[in-house]
Amino acid sequence: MINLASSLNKPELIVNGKRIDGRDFNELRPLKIEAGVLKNADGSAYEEWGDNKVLVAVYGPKEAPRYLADPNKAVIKAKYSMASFSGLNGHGRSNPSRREIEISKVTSDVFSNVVDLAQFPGSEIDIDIEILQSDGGTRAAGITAASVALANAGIPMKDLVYAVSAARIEDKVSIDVNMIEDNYSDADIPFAISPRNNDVLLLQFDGGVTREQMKEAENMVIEAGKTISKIQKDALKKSYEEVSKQYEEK
Amino acid sequence: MRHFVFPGEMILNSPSELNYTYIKDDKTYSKILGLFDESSNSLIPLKSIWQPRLNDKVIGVISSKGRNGSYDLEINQYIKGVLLTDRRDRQRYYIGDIVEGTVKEIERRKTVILEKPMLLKNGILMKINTAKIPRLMGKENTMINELTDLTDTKIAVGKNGYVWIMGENKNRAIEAILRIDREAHVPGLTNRIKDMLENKE
Repeated sequence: MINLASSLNKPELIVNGKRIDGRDFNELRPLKIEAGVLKNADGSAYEEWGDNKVLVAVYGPKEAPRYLADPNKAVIKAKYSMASFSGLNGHGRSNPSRREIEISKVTSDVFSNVVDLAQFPGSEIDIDIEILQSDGGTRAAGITAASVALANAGIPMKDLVYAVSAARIEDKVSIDVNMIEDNYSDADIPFAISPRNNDVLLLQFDGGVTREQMKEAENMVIEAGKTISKIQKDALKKSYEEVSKQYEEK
Repeated sequence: MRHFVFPGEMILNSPSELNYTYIKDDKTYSKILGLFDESSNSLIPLKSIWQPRLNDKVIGVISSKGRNGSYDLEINQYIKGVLLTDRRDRQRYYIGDIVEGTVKEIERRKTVILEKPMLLKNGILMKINTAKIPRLMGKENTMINELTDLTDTKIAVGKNGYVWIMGENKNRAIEAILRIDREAHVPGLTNRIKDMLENKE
């Protein structure tokens, strides 16, 4: 597969002080989440974030296989996978790729920190993240949707985590990069944040930024997180509110 | 006044040992998606996962048979039920039988030992979320008594979310239970169920 991104064909990422898709530097792409979309899963969520389309299903807690089981706590097993039709490159054609294994691992780690594992000893909680369409920032999109799916399953956890990626485009710090920006940006930093106390649960970093730019990125992420958290909460209560509304009208 | 709470949301400014909450820095936070009732200071989950407690009544399906009169029961996705019977006990169970029992012992929070078994025959088994079980029972079992009276059915409710129904009108009872599952968070449920069952007669 030809790698389309190279320094030779780099497009103008900043046009007239705006980003390539017309957004401001701290502006998120449109985000839409729906909870409880799958009947047979214990919890589920469907998310559209810009052109990303993500489906998450949560199963469990269920009995863990012996090699995985921990007698003192539950084990989180996240599986991130990209559908073969999700992007331009050849994804999902065979076994999980190196990248998919990595993202599955970091996602499991994020949720191991917030889910109340001690309540379900010897069990396993499965999180299946399926990327149906990808346009940059899918690991953040996957974590944001998985958080909603876990709450939808009734699994006790300390916080409703969200994730969003930050980037440096030339000398500007920006957030929620799309595929083109992701491929050509000078630094790419996905964050996962626990909004209760703004703890950072995931921080990956590739490229180079100064100390000040890193701080700016963090502040931008936390600011944008308020919007993301609100959308997550609205998604969770929506189906219950609809039922209540039927009776209020009468 | 009830309002929605989400995991990580602060519900009380002071530490308080409520169900489905945790305490951090002398404040109480919610662990689940639920409704918080300010007048009674209680958190009602909208979905939950059953945690076994002593004397809980549960319903399970016999999944395998041991040698000395012990049976394994499927009661939950990860908690295993074990039923020990005496040789003098005449009742025999077969794989697939639906049995109601009471939790006598909990082993390592993964296996529950059941006692006082009762075979449930000729009925139908359904599952609802365990968070809705208290609503299905009602205050002092008012809801479930009304349901059995009005539909003329026999209903057994397990704390693990299994509900067993027998009787000619079981379809109407199932309809009512599904409605309870869907509308448990809206006040005035008992009256609505009563109206629904009475008007159809």
